[in-house]
Amino acid sequence: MGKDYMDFFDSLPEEELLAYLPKEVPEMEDRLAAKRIEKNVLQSIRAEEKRRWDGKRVAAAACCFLLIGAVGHKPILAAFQRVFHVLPGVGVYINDTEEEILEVRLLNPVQEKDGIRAELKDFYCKGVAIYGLVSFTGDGLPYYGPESRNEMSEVMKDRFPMTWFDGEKERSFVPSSSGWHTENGKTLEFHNDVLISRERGTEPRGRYEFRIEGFDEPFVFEVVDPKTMKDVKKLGYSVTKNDTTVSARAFLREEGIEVEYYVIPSEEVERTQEAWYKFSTPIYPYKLDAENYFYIQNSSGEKMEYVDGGRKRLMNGYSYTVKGTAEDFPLTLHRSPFTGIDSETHTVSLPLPTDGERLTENLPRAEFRYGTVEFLSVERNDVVWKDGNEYSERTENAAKVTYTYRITPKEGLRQMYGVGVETDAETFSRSGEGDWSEETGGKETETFFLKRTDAKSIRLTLENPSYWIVEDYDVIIKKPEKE
Amino acid sequence: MEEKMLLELLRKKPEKGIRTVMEAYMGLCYAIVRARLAGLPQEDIEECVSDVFLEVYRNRERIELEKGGIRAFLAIVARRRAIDRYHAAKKTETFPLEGEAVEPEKQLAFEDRDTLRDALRMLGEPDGKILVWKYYYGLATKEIAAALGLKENTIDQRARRGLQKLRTKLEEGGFYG
Repeated sequence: MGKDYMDFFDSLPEEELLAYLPKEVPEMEDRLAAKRIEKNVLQSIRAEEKRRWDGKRVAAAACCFLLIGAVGHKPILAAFQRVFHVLPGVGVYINDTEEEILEVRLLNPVQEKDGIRAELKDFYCKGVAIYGLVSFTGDGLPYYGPESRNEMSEVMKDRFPMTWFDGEKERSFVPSSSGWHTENGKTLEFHNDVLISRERGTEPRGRYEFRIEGFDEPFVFEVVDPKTMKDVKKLGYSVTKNDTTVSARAFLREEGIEVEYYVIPSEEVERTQEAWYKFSTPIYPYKLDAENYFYIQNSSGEKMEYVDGGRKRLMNGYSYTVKGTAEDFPLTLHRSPFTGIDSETHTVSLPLPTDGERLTENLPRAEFRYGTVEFLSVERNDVVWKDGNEYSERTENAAKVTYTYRITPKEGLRQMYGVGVETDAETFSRSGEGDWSEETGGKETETFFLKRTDAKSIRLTLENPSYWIVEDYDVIIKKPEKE
Repeated sequence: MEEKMLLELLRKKPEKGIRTVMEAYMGLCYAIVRARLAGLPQEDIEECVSDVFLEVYRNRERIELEKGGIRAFLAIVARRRAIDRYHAAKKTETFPLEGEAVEPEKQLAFEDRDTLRDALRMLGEPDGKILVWKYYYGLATKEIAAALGLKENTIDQRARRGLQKLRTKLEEGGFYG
């Protein structure tokens, strides 16, 4: 279904889609993209009108505009892409994609001119696209608040036009809207998921020149076959439990301590992340305590405070900059347990009370490998169900069945906290609310509006149980020898 | 601005009208296109959105208020153009299409639209609405949650279960055979 559901929605009849047309339309958050689109639409319209005015046939061609150089993907697929593949500057650890991953060797990543330092970072090549980050540091860079970063990248585009040359022709490069600056305004960075997009089917290996106007020399880099790293310990300090490795290393910076953090998931964890991505299967933080889910502490055991803007995504990892000095080492990076999803399934028969009745005894329970699901109550009220679709007049005689179940995790490494519930009975709609606490475990109340029935019970299928793999990761990070 | 006034403006003062239409519906159009073209380069998405507004402009005399006006026209055209662009890209692509890529040669037997409609209705509400909003109209979970007055976790759970249920129903109907 994960691969095919888009086709399902593609094929829905128009009247059905229009019946679901949302009243509130979403806001356009990417203002720079909106401006580009508006500009191109208006240009096309004016060109069409001019041709019409000239008495010539109006071309039916679609809007034809040129946007050379790829601007970044939006982070819609970011989670999926974070599956561990590449550590820029380190190598390819795993490549389980169909795309070939190549190393980008930056031959002269830094240039300075008139007090501005430009640096290329984190470059790598996947398929025919080159990904990476362009960073400017110095005085006199435009400063904007975070909310106007689109404007900032536009200004930077005017201030530092960029081009790249692949040995045959020079192309302009359009920075994406995903730029940011540090608090002091002395650093501006553009991180494009795709920096350079070659023509499809071309060979990406080779030598490239990347020019930023105002700097004397081109940046030169080569796309080459990657070196492959097999020893995760080379990443820094690592802890591996249950085949999932949490790795971290630290750097002393002017503004504090930067900690790079990577996760190399086990198949079990990776499968769960994929389920989250494809099917929106909820993955909850361990015991739902976000405060203690992830943190860095100093040698005194105190949680360290992040500097403003000190949390950012790296390719396949994260960077956290915390307030601190060399005296704070060794640091401890704490990561709470990861989530897994099991394939175990149970079917139970839930008794159906009569209209207005509530049952609390002799209700089913199911023993899963990692926890027990226990039904606590079920009640029924016969009602007239009305379609929530505002365009629909549909009503049905229904049995509103509300049940509550509790999930009690079993002792052990894997502890269950959630489960999916499905029924074979004909339903008009359903809803539910869940909760989790140390005292009661997982507790969920769900309501089905069933087609009214004389049946004494309904069959429920309990599936996709979610569980925490309850081992913490504490990575001890020693003081870096340099920096 | 009301649809009627918007359509009048578009017909009488086309350039000002299309600017206003873009201001009002850029988010909707972008969300629909992006939902379908996830994985394609950003410029493909922007080109596609531009194409949709051009179609609105060109068809301003044909758009009918009775059939939902500009909003409805745009919502349908956006998806159709995104599908076209997606399949065009798939024919030539070596560009990474991750996550939601459909196998290139896969042919789906989706002719029976009544069955599709029934499969969606079978989900009931709000699950049907959640799925269409999420996967057709590209609304974010938090937007859906706010509109329906439910928690974001609940929306995600409903969406997952809805998709699984659809899959089961369609598999039973031989759609994925």
